[in-house]
Amino acid sequence: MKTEFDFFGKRINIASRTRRRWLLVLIYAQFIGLVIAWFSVYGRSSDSFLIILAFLLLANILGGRSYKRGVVPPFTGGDERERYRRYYAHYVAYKYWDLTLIPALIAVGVRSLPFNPAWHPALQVFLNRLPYGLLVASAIVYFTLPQAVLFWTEGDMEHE
Amino acid sequence: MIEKRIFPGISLARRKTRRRLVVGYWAFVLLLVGCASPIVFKHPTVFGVRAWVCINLIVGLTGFLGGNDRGGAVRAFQGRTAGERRTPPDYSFMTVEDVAAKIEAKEQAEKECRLDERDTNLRNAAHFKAYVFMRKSAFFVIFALIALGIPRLSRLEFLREPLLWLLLVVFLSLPQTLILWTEPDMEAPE
Repeated sequence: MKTEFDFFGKRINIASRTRRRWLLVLIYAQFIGLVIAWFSVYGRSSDSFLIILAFLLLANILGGRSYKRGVVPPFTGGDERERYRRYYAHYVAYKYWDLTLIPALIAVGVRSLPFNPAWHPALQVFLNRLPYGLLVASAIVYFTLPQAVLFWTEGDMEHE
Repeated sequence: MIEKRIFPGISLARRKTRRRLVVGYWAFVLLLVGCASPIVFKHPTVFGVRAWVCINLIVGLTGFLGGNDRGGAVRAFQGRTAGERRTPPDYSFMTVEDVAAKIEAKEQAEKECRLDERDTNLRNAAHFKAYVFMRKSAFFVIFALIALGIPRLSRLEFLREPLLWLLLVVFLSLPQTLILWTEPDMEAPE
């Protein structure tokens, strides 16, 4: 786990668990912003492309998987302790991720019901888009949850 | 990590038996999901019940492989009974003999649920492998689901729910499948 976060050339110390948790909260706040943006620009492919780029940039900052420059080291190699921690993080992530699919499933169910014409058009548009917004949120959680678990649970480290 | 015997008395000690069981389970799931789209497309109700309500039972099948709770082929992943998470039960209204029997049964259940270090590592490694596999396949499925919302593809919209269900079933069953498939032969049950 890195003890410093390089933010456009400025080095931020993230050796303490509290700082790391704050950084994670900030990253997830931006993910929420991206989901809301996706929800608003639904159907406009050029804007969606920009949102996907922003998501990839944020995912790169968080690291894990095969990202080498992120705050979480890549999921390959490492010593035995790191491997066991990685496996455990994936177990925890796996256990809870399917909960994010439940709202999406409910939204799909609601969307398949006939809408009452008396409902406000904005509400109908909202219900129409909701399953996709929730699926995007679910995908983001899926791709980032193991890294988040590792980042959140690692104890205080010594700053190099 | 694996129960030696499951309902209706099938021994899971041999890897070959477990693999046959896994193949049968997935064949059944794929058959159900594969049939689901045309059935739902043509017949929204089956004997007056909405077809999707019947097909949702597929998810219930995942209990057969276990893992999420006791009673399946794989022991519960959390390594403890449901009772351990609650406040201690009130035995004040029971006789001493009943309380003793109850406590003994509870301790036995807890003992059966415990996972040792090897089991825990096996469980975590299976989840890691399943997660990596799912990450690769779910990426395409989720984007296919999103693409099905595009007006030009509205004719294929009926595929959305089967895809979502298949994703959920694969997600719920994959670690158990990996464990059942890869674990070596065990000692036969008495």
